[in-house]
Amino acid sequence: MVRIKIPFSVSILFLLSFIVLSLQLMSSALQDTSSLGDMYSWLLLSNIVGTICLLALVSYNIFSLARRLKKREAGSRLTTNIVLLFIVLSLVPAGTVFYFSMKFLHQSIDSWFNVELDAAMEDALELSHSALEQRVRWNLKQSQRLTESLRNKTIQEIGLEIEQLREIAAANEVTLLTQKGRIIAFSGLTQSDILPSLPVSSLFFQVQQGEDFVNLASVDDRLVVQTIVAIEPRKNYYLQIVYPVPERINDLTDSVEFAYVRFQEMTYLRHSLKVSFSLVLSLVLLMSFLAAVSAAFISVRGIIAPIRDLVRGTQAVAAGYYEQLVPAKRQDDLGFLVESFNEMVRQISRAQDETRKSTHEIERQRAYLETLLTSLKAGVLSFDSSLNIRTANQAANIILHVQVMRFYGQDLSHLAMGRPDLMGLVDVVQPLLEKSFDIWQRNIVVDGPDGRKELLCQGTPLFSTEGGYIGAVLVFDDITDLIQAQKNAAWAEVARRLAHEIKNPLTPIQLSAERLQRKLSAKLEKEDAQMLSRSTVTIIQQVEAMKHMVDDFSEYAQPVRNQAANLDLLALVQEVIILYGANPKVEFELMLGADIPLIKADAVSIRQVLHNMFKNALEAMDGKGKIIIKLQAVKKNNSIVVQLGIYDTGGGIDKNQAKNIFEPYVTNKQRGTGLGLAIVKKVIEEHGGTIRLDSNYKQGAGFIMQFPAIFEETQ
Amino acid sequence: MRGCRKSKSLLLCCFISMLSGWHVCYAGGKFVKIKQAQLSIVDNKARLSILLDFRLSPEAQKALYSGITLFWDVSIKLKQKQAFWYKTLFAHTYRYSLTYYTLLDNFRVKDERKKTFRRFSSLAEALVFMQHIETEEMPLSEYVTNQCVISVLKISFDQEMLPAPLRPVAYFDRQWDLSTNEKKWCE
Repeated sequence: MVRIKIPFSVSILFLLSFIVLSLQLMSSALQDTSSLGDMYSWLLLSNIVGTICLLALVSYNIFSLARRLKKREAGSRLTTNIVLLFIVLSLVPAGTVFYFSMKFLHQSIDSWFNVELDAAMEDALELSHSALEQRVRWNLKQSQRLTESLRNKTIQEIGLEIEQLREIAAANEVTLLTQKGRIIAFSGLTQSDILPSLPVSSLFFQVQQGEDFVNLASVDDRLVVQTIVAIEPRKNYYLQIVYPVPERINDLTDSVEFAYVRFQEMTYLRHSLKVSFSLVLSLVLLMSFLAAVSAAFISVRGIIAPIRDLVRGTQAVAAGYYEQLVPAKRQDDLGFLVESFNEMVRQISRAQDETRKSTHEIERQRAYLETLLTSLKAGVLSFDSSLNIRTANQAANIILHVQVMRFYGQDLSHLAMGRPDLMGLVDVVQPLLEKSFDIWQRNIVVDGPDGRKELLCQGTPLFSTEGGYIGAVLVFDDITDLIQAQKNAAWAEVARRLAHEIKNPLTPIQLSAERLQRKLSAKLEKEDAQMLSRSTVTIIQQVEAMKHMVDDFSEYAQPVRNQAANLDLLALVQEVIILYGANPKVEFELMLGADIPLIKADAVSIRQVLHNMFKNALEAMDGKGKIIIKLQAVKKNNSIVVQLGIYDTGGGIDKNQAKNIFEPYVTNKQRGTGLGLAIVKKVIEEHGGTIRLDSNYKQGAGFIMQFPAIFEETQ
Repeated sequence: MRGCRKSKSLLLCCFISMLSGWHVCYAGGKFVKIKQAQLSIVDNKARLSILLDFRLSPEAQKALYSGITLFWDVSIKLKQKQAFWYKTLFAHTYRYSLTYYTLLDNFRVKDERKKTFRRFSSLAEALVFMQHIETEEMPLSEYVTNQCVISVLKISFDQEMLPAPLRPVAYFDRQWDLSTNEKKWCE
């Protein structure tokens, strides 16, 4: 459907034309000569209705504007200003014109009715009256003279001469009447006058009383003088003569009467005329004012629309929507403004897109870096130019056993507060970060809560592209296991070579010693034979001892038998304890935590570990004392481990030995290969567990072993 | 919202007051009243005899003496009830005018339909004449005998024949209420 939109100017022109036409018609209707007089009421009503409609329209617009102002809508204040401007611009000249028009109107109307004119009109009427009275008197005298001339004539003669009498008197009609009003004879000017016009009975009564009757009457809108005079000496008969008033006098008196009546009417309508013209003028003023206000509202709508669009567009831009362009409907300054705004939005949109892409890229890089840092096993700390901590990865938290995030914005020394084990690290790293402007690397040993750790730390100062110092990065890795593995591998190689190089000649040595004993003992003197026997026994015993030692090494060098299965460590511990329970001098105390999960391990290997640990403890206590076994599930690095602690009441471990306690050939016993703990450590580590010396335990030696827990599906 | 309610109440009060005022205006007494009206029907022909209390308000007299002609319409309607509706047997409007002639100092009462008139030397005589209205014989079409004839009579002053400037005042001025109420009776 095609919708035809009437242009604004046409609408306004139509409205104004309607108002002007309506008012013009109403104004014309006030003129007495206008044929629109009959329509006056309808025109007045239509004007009032039009005014009410316009008033309603304006009121609605004002109400809407007030509501928009309250809501602080865009363009409402501008609309108010423009409408007020229109009101002032329309009201001031219209009000001025109205005031002077009213004044002029009232003065003009009053001027119509000045005293002179009123007196003149009265005089004119009086003159007309006088002229007519004179005519009436003259006609009466004429009638009296005529009846006087009839004194000597009989009634019959008078009746016969009546036509002649009418012609003599130049009358319209002459009638001979009896005392009772009966017509005896009649003569009329025209043939159509069949009957005379008689006076009413009350007037005829006057004649009967003997008075002459004279009356000025109007017949067919013409004035006539009607006289009735008694015929002397016969008082019983009357002669009625109707004289025409001369044409000229008739017209003049008619004209005077019309003017006088018109003047009287206008005088009477003086106030009403003022009211009516004032009403028309007021309506003109009101409708002009309302039309101006309506025009202001309609025209301002056209101006406000692009501004409102612009505001909407600005709000959209502020909200981050750059696709919403403002429609450019006009070719004027506002249209230019809209075009400029659209161009600006397009440019912002492009810039925003580029910024978004850059941000996205930065975010992607940051996420990548974060993922990279998170996946790194090495801990990474970054510092700003004041060497306050900026970022840290997850590995740093794990290695240092501290939530580094809590220390963002603080320097490294805050990390060591409440953590004396980290003091050594801080003492070494902090000066290096402060002073070194080159990459540096240090191995730093930390005695943490989970044992001794060796950290490989590398510091790198950061510089901006302009060369300014912007901070530093500290990368540290826990290389304890690596170094230990290297040591273990070296010791395994040594053990393998020892087993290979030493064990092979031992059997010939033992056999040769036995052969010497067998061949020469009978041939030698008794003393020599005894000496030989002691020597060969010594050789054989030492060879046996060496074989044992080589076997131990061989065992250490060999890979651990690992037939892993779900293992209840508590049951295994209890089983092994029973084997040692026969000794009354040794007391075992088992301290258990709640809900100890299973571990995945080779039961034989773990039994050997337990035997080694208990054997060491017993040896350390010289066969009497107390062995405390603590078994519990603990949380470590977001996972559950089964922790087994074995504590004895022996002499403990020397501080110097503590560093290397798990290395081969480290022992405080008179006899022993020093491989026991090394093998234990090797077995535990090959099961994915850890073992460490509990440095906090001072009553003897304490070891803490941790195994990864497993959870059966049924659990 | 409260202000709006107040405004509504005020408007309602104004409207009610206006209506009351209008009512009081009309209840204050009329210058023209129907005193008596009688219908006589002979041979399907009706004749209506009306007696009015005919007075002119001071304002109307003033206008009359100022040369303004006053017009009245005498509206007569005769109806009879049928099965479901009222059938109009006769309907007619007589129109009379009253004019004052300054020069002759007399009053003219004119039957505007017949174009006949009578002159009176005084207003009282003219009004007395106008108080009595005798209609001509009114032929009743489809008249049903022995059944009530409803007569509807109203004398209306024609304000629209007043000079245009006077009309807005006449609409609202009680002095110009020279019409009777509608009289309806059954004979």
